[in-house]
Amino acid sequence: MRSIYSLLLLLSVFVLGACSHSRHPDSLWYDPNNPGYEYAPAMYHSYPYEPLTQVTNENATSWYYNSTPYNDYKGKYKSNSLTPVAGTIARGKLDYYFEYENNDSGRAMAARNLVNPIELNDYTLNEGKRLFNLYCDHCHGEKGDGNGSLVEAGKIPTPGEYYGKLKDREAGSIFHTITYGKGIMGSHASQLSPEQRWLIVNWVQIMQHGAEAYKIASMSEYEALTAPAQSETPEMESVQDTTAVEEVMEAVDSTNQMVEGEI
Amino acid sequence: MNRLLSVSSSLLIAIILLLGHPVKAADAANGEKLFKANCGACHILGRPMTGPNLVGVSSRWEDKELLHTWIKNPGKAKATGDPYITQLLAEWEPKSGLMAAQAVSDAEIDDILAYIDNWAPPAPVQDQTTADTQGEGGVTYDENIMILSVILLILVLVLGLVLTIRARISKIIAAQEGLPDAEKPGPIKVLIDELKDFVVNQMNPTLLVLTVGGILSIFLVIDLYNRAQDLGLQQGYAPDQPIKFSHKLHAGQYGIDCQYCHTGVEKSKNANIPSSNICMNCHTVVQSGPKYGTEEISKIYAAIGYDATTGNYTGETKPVEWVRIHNLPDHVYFSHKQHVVAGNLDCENCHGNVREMEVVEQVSLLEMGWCINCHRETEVVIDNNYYQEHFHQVFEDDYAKYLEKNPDKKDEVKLGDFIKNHKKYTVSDMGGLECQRCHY
Repeated sequence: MRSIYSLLLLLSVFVLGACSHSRHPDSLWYDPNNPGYEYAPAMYHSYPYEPLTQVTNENATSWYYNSTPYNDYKGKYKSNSLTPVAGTIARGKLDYYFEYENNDSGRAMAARNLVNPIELNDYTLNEGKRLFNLYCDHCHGEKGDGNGSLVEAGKIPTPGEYYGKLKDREAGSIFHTITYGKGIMGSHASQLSPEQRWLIVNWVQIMQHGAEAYKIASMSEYEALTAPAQSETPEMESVQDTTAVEEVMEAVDSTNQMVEGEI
Repeated sequence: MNRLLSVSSSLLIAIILLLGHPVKAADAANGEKLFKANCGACHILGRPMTGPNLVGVSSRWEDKELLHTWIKNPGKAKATGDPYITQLLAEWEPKSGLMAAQAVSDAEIDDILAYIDNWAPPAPVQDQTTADTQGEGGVTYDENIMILSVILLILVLVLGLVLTIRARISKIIAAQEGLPDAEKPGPIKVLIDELKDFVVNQMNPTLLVLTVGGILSIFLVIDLYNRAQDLGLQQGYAPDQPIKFSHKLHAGQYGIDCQYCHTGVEKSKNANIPSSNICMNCHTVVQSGPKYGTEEISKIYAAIGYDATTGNYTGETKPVEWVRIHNLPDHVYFSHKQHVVAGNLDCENCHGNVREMEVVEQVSLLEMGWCINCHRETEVVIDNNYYQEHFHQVFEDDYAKYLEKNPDKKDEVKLGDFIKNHKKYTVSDMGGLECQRCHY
């Protein structure tokens, strides 16, 4: 009988040990919704409003309850998201202010007036390429052929090739489109700073040179690609000189001046 | 003969197709291609998008000539002052502008119209998903309980078996020794008798109390130890979210980069949870998902105040109350920007393979030892101006120590060579273990 007795003892220790508390996903106690225990809530929770926490229990102690009544929902919902005070621009964010209107005439104005402030060099070229492949490639495709992963999956209609329908889009127009969106493309202004948008504009304009342009990784390769087509550049500049903004506005009204098939 | 057969069969198929469809099948197929290439950017069949819903367009336009003119040159068609066009423009021009002229021929327009007329809405996906969605969250939990109870059951059965066999054997021994043959009781009765005998005759009450108390205290100690170990740690936390957003689908299957939505990761302390406007970059078009149909996507629309039938924003918004998973205490300062930009770390380093997660789970421990370990092990790329300028003294001191130990190497190993090839500089050498680096 002694052997059974010791067997029982061993068994219960084993079973109870296995049943004891553990946060491991294989444990009996594992509850994916349970965040566990805190040891010092006063040190855990922030006095200032934290944007990503929404502690909605008002009965919690003062350091724990963390939700502003002055939020975007006027206290109706508990959230800490706040839009900037109307009519103000945060320090250092002046370039977020974009004076062109979100319509066709605004886009045409931007196309005429805006000049890409970022000088093209090896670093900006690759940075633009990297940002493009983070923020644009799932629709526009890594190659700029309008055949990204979402287009291939049939989720989003193709925006077209950069070296096809969108070949002649000016820098300012591309910047306007990234800022406001166009057609089904949404505004990416909340995701990209103006500087990042200009870097992407650079890269998009490189891809306008042809189907192989996406392979470029340095300035020397870019110059080699654009060398035969150099005669085009002065032509474009002369057009810009002769056409005044008023004329552009008229042209926009008579619609046929509009760039075809843009997204 | 074969050729004749194939020709006649293909003829037959062609006739069947012609009889079956009022419009030639080839036309509609070509029209689909043309529609996707030329119209798909602004029009989607079945609902309005940037432009109006085109289903039934040929029945709405009385003058087919004018429709062709409109598609090829909207400016010219507008100039005719047709009342239907005026009405259309009054509705659409303010928000979408005038349609762009399309470079298509009359025959191609007919193909496109044939495609639109033949188009039928796809079957809703909701039905096949319900079976899938049930019991999603708690699978591991339920399975664990099941497995454990099966094991327990087996153990109890084995115990009963052992006791029964033992009773049988003792009975046989009793018979062999010529003792009177007891009446044969059932196995359960034998088991109960054995246990009764065990508890009443062989069990010492003190021993019993000690045993039960011992087992309980062993359990308590293990349990308390485990709880203390997990105090303040959230590893394995995988809460249900208000919207069943699947990273496996978005980041895994569709290959959308983490930063597309978590834009702050290179710019600020937080990697930020995207606000609903970023969802809308795709979900104005994609209104139904493969698993939950429109159920989950409509929650985004409710949050941002979007009317999917008209494509307008109502202006009535409310927050999506995402449940925060990764949460460092307020007394620790952690910046994503520094780790991603300067440290050049991938998201997977700390967050695990989120691309495979249906529900996001905290993979890393996020305790201090975990941070410190990485700071001790991660090598720093010192070959740049910042470190040459600010850590020059550290490099020189180390070099002097090295020369003290190896005086003969003075000409062989120079300072530049030393820091590159003879010593590994980790984050801890650059002050990565100082308390106030993170606690301030």
